[in-house]
Amino acid sequence: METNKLNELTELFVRGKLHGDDLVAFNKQLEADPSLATEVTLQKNIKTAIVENRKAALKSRLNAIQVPSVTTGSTSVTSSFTALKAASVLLVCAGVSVGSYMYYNSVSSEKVADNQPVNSTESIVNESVAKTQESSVVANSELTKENKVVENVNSAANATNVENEESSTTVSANAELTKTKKRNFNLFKSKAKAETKQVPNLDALDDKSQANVTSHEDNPEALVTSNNIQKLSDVDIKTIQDGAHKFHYRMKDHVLYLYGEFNNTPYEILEFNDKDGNLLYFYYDNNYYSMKPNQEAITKLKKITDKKLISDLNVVRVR
Amino acid sequence: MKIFLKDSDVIEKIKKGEESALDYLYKKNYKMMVNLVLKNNGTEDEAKDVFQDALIVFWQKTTSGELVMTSKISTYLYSVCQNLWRKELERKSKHSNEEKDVAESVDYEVNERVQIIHKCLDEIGEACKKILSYYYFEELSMIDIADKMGFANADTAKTKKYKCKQELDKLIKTKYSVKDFLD
Repeated sequence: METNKLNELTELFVRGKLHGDDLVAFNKQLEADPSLATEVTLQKNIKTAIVENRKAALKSRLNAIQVPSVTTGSTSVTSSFTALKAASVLLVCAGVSVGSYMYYNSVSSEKVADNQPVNSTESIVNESVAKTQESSVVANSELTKENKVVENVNSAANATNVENEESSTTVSANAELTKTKKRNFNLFKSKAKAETKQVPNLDALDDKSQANVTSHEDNPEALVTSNNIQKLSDVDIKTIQDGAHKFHYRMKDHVLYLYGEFNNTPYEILEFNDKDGNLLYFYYDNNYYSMKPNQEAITKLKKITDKKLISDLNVVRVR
Repeated sequence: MKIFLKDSDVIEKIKKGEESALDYLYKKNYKMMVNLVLKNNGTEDEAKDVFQDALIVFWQKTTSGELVMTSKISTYLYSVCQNLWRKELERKSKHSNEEKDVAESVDYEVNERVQIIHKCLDEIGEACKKILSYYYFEELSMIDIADKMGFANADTAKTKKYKCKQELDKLIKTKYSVKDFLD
């Protein structure tokens, strides 16, 4: 057999891509030709090494990700700080676009604290845990183009003072925020106990138990719809570059369309909910812009100049 | 701050080779997968290892186009973790010391050869390493390899892959003969 053809067949064989008559014929040749058998062994080893090499690279990447320890039930401050630093570097290097919502809801925290349903609590835990990871998540430009990033900052009823006037809104983030975060941490502990009942015994696992697990822990969408985040989960963010609109936005069918080159620089969207509706602020390139939640027409982003408002927004955003 | 991605978006990103999607899945499912192992006599390190392996399986099957998703990604990952951990438990309990010794002896020889190949891989340069990874691990088509590597077309990718492989084979065969001589 021609050498090139034999090499080609060997490669296909090693990759598991040889089938049917070709495979039968090759196997016969393999039995009859010891030098071919040696070559196949070598090629298998080469493939193994290449695959292992790649796996090691992927594992190394995953190992570098900071995750909260499950065994201790807490998040290492050092770890999150490291993640933050790493993320900052990535932010600068990669040029990231970030969509974030800060969701202010004065009612939800009380509800959750009283009822402590598993899913809602899990959701809150996820939010708390997510805060420690947020920078590394945020630093990922590939993931942020059409994403909703949610920071659920529960607050007591008087925690914020948001006046629904575009240029004179006052946002006061006060000590109540810290209080509420602590409350969430306590819920985290409660959830940790509840989970022991949900994780099935490996020996007893079957399709049914798998399905049960899925419905509780393995279903972020369900978690999202289980409480006040539902509204945000329905909102997509899409960036459009159409030439005619370079710094515009519109809200339509639960999609926030951003017109312009927003994929190259981080941005954040701050959303405040109060009884009168939502207030949206767009943070981009060290400036804040106001947004109307029901703005269906393409509208230019309007820069906020009110220094007091900017200062208040900075306080909330940094938190 | 939290990111939500639809499963279809995650798969799309992985098909494009965006490793960040893997990071996303890792963070999103970490707690659940680790708990699975922890509740079944494993440590967090073992759990991490199993979960990372499961993610790599998912990555490879997605990039190669082998994956047919009939469930949510997290359900799929959970099943893979289950199977991997079950195998690991079986391996731990069934292997007698004697069997282990034999297995380790065979593994050692293979590992030694693989280590030599690893060294050779380091010598052929990053571009060649990537091309060969895309071909043997991700099992991408030549068109996709060309796209990822910025080559003009599939033919260029095929030629480059051929040259890289030849270079690697040559290096390995040189080192193998030296090793055989020493043995």
